[in-house]
Amino acid sequence: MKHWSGGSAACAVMAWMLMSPSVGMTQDSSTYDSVGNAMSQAAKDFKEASRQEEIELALEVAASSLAVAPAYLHFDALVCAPWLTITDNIIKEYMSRVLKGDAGAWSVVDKAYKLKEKLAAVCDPHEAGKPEPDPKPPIVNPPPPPPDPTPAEKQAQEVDKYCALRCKPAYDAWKAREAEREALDKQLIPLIMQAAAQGKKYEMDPSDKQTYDHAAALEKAAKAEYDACVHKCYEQAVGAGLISTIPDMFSNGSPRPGPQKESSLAPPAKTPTLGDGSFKSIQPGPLDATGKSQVAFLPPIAGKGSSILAMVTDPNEGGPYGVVVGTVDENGKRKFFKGVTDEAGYLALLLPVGITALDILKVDQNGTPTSMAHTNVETAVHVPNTEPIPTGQVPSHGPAITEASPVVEQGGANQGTVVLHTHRPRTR
Amino acid sequence: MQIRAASDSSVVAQLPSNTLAGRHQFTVVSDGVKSNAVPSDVATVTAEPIPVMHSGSTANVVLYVEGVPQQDSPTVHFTVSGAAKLASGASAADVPVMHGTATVRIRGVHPGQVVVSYQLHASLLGPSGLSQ
Repeated sequence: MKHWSGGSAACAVMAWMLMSPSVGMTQDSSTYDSVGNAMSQAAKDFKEASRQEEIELALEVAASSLAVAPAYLHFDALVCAPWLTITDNIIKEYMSRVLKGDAGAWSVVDKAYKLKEKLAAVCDPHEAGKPEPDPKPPIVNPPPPPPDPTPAEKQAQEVDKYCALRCKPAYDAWKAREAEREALDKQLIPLIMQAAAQGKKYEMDPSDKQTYDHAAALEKAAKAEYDACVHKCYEQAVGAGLISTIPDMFSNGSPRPGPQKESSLAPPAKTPTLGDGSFKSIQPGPLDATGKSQVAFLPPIAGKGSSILAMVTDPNEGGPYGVVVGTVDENGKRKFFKGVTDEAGYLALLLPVGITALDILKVDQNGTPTSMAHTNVETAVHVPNTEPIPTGQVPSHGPAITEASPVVEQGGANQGTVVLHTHRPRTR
Repeated sequence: MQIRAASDSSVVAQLPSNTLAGRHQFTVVSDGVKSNAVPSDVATVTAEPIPVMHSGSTANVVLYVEGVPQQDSPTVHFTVSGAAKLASGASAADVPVMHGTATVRIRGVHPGQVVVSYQLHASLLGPSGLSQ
């Protein structure tokens, strides 16, 4: 028997576990147009403080369009996000009016809730049973996805996916709080209607009001936590050079609010982090055992505190992939963390202070970790398997390549990758 | 190309599988500013099948290397383990690629699996490459 292996660089190759792949979505253009137009009208009416009847009409038109839509209809989260945001904003505004005694405002709330239920049926990927989370914050007039994205746009899309995945726990916590608050809204319906029927202003019981206010505050805190997570994620992506600027929708001038500090409001539980990433600290064991066909990529060298983009692929399975990351600190102490890549296999993280090495690990059936890919942090000046570029060919300003792979073998053990040692001289 | 990994000081990028063998230039762009372009040889390597071996028998391991010009000094580092060794008795050897071929002779030492690994090297610091 014989076995061939080979390549021009020593890239680690190993396998790992998998999670569900994404599910394709379809959308019907005529329904999209009619719902979109109605929601735009509702948003316009709401923003311009138009008459309540006009807002109700727009909500009814949108709901009617969805009511006659084909059963297979499914809208992408990016498309739905602004519609859900408009609906939520209308609910909040008119619910507050109801709570102030304007029983007539309930009609808007009722229609908005009915529309929201219809939208949830065709939109919300975070509902139970939907395998592909895509927690997009509110977006106004999302552009349709370009048919043939440029590399920069592709990169931005990957960052979008990563930030959505990374902030999913915060998103889920927010949505759970929102659901709790909405449940309280609905409990108030019979009381409000009863008061209205009697021509009275509805007065909330003080203890009920306390419960309601508490739920609303928890929702607000969870939303702030999610906003902060997304904002920070994009900030780090900019810092890592993955995107040039934070998308407008996440950088509205003032910093995003942080979690509420009221003592009665416990912020949503945070996942233990590796640096600023969402990673769980672990001690690898048999339960963390990985498969055998994965390939992992890490940059060979990095500076202290650098942002890292890593990737895991598996020729046999689709992403996202679970990942075990190991670190070595300045005292030689090893730590292990478990995280998850995005659907494409990408993983971004910020190196914690004091780290000298980073590995993506495979874990065998006995729980023994071995490195699939390795990064030296601030400990190497030369990238293995690269050649130095003559000084005269390295620019003194701006981004520069100082070392590069002299040869790249297609399909070899290094997966046909070129390795570049880069630096960006500070010019200010 | 697709970025596979990156930090503040290194980048790993994967070439499309249909990239033609031969000399290519690579650059990085950061904040819209393009770096210097650096050359690299994209190579395809194919191996001849190794014949069935017996203890004591010898066979040639032949690699065909395309895309690396002779002036870039292509060399293959062979490592042999398992049921065979190099005919010289060593377990590793550096073999220059001549006219697109690198050949090493191995000898079976006991029944079992023969594992031959290789690593292709080249240097662009010569006349055709990076020197000024």
